[in-house]
Amino acid sequence: MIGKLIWKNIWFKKGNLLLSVLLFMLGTAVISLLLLVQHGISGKLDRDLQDIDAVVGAKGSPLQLVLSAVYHVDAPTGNINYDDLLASTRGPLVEQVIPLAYGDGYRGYRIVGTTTDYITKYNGELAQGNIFSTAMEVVLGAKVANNTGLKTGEHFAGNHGGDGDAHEEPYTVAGILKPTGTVLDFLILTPVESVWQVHAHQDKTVDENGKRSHAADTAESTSADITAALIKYRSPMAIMTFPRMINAQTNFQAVNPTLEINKLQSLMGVGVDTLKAIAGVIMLVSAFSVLIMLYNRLKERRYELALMRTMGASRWLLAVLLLAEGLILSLAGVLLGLLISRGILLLLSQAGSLNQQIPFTFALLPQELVLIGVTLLLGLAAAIIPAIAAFRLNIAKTLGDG
Amino acid sequence: MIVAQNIVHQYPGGSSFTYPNIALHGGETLLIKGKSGSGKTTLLHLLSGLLRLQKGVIHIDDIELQTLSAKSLDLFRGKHIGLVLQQHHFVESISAADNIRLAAFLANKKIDEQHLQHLIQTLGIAKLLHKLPGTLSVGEQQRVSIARALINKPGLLLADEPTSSLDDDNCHAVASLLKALCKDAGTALIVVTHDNRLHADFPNQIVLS
Repeated sequence: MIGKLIWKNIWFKKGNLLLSVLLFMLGTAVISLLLLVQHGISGKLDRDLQDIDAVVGAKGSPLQLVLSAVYHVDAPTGNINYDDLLASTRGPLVEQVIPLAYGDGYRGYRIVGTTTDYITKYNGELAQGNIFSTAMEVVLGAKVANNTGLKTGEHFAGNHGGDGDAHEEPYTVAGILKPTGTVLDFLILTPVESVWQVHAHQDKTVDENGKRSHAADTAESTSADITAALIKYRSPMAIMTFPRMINAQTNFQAVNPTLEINKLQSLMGVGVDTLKAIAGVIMLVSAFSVLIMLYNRLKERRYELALMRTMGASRWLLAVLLLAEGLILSLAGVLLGLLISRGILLLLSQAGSLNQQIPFTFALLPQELVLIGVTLLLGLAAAIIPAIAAFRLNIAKTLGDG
Repeated sequence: MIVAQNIVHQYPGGSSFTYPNIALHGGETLLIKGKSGSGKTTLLHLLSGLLRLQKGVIHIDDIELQTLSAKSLDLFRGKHIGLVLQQHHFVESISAADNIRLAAFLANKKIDEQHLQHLIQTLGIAKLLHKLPGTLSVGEQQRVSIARALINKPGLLLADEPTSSLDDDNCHAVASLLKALCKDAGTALIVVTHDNRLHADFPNQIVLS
């Protein structure tokens, strides 16, 4: 009966109900969306970093180098000579060097010349076919295969610079990887020699035409050139010494990717915190709206509350009725907010290729449990003043006034 | 049964009322008359425990009201005292039937379905039960509020100006219904009114001056 009474009382004034629930919904949806996006991006950044201790590439912006070589979302800083790099990394400090040579693409997906170590680093497993064994063979990431429709044994030509003219040499699909939830899913992987072969041919063509090589303007790999390399240290000592050595003794730069990503995240954090603060204000406004609504309703309902006292209801019961109404309104708001945030996330995750790369979660985050708790507390706090007024209601005077 | 003796009530810095003694058994009726400001409603609030007694003693169904804690008094009122008020207040958001059932729920009493059906038939409210109180006429609200007041078979029914908004025919009809229902349930009935039309319906009367 109490549950029915609470629900009927809330539903009796739907207009007021709607406004309060909408405000709670708006505040929680914004905060929830920020948490989900932040969680998705952080997860993506962490997963793709794996155990990469350093990224070596041409001098330029360190962050650009990391975004380009680790996440494949930015243009490269330039090319470096592979032999020189190997010479610089020889010694006790470095355990593994994974070369990356890129510049071309196919239907928006980057073709990366590398070694099989790159696939192993991200725990890539074959879904179909084989790992590339010779130049001009490729292995497709799961999303690439899914979105381009390419199958094992099929041929395709890479585009110059990603969206330029098609190269003459066709690639052959040797295998397709299972989804890894990492950057691997969005890449076309081939031996580094493939990239050299394609560009050696192009350089020749350019020379024959008497025109300036395009590779000189961009970071496209030419023979024995790579774009960047992912480094794994042999010992923690290298953290301090390796970047210093590379930066001082070579014309490359060595960047600690974790450091760069932390800088990026702290920059993004300022904007996220501002949005969270705005959403927090919206939630406070919604709590205030619930307070005003419940207080006005209390004034309208004072006779029926007094009547309930004459029928045996205790002061506590009336207070609990009001508190429950505040709680239910905030609960409805937060649940709708969580649903809305997931709806927006679903739209966002299908909107563009960048967003497709971020594996958003739709499950409830631990921070969202806190959000639910805080929202319910706000709803409860908003109902406290009306509840106290109901508790203190003078029945005889109220009924006398009526 | 109700016994009220030596009751005096004084409002802070205001009027003081001294009331005659009252002794009423189940099924008996009493009409308390008086002009506006004679303290009729104050007496009704004292008898129902809505106002704390300052002086005197009130026993209802052998329980002395002053000995009850605030919480016990709330529950006692729900179980043992029925109230029909001048303004027929209801919980607006629930149906007439739920308003009647709410009285039993709040008093923590199980509904006697047979008794409920008897009230519904006698008061002629079967077709009103599913309606919201705000959609009922004053007369219909009156009948539903009587059913609500009697659902718990209280020892005492207090009616405050129950006929003030009714025409002559309905006035006597309501008076007859109240008397008949209280007699059936063994409930003592006290009607507080300034309505002279009820004189003939209630021979046992007290006049407040």
